[in-house]
Amino acid sequence: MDFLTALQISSSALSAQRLRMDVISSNLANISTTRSPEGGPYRRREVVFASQPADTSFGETLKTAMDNSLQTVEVTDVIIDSRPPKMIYDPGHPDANTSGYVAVPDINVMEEMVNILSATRSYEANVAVVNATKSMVTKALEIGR
Amino acid sequence: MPSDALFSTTVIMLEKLLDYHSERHKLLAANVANIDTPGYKGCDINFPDELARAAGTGKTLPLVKTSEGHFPPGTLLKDTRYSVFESNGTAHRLDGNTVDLDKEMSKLAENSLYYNTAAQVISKKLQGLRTAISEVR
Repeated sequence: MDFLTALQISSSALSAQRLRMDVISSNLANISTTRSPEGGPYRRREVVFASQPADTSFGETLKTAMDNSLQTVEVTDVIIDSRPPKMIYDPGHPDANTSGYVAVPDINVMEEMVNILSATRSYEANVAVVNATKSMVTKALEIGR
Repeated sequence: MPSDALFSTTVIMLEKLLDYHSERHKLLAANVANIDTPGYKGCDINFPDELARAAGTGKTLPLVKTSEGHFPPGTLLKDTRYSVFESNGTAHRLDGNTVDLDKEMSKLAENSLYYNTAAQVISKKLQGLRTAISEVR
C-alpha cells in the first residue's frame, strides 16, 4: 500500500487543470491581439487531456489489472482552434487590410469563463482528494501511537 | 504476518481492510483526476468477495467448507487480488467520460472514513495490548 501513487495521480490532475487554466488566461489576455509570432491574429488554444497509466513502485513487469486501471492525467497537446478570426471594421487600425477590416481572434468571453469555472471545480475536487489522502496517511501513522 | 499469540485475527483482518481501502482510494483518486479526460471510464473494486474470503483464515472467524471444490481457508489471505470493474455511472456526457463527480466524491469520503475507522480500531487494539503489558508491572 503506497499513498504516493494516490498523491501522484491527484497532483497530475492538479497540474493538468492548472495548465488548462493558463491556456484559458492566455486566450482571454489575447482577446484583441492582432499580431502573433506565427503571423496574423492570435489563435485560440485549447488543451487535450489524456489518461496515462500511473507509475507504480513495482515497475512494468509486475503490472496487474489494478495497476493498469490507475490512470494519471496528462496534457498531451495544446491545439489551436480552427475557427476563423472575426473581421472588424476599423480603418484606423495599423493592421487593417485595404478594405479597412481588422482580423481579431474569435474568442467568446462566456465560453472562456465557463471553462475557467470547470477547471476551478475540477482543481478543487482534486485538492479534496489530496486532503483525504493526507488524513488517511496521518491516521495510519497514528497506529500504535 | 504477525503471530497469533499477540495479534488476533481481528488485527490481521483490519490490516486487510486498510489495504483494501487504500487501494480503493487510489482508484477513486484516479477517477477524480480524469474527470475531464475524454473517453475515460470510471472504475471501482469489489469489497465483499475479497475480504469475505480472507475472513476464512482465522480461528474466531471461520469459513465453513461445504464443498470439495471450495478453496481451503487461509490460502487467499496473503495476497488479496482486487477485481476492477467499470462503474457504470449515470453520467451522460458528450465526451464519453463516465465519471460522476458527486458519486466519486461521496465514495471517496466514505472510503476514507472507513479507512480512518479501521486505523482507529487497530490503534485501540494495540493500546489494549500495551495496557495489558504495562499493568502487570
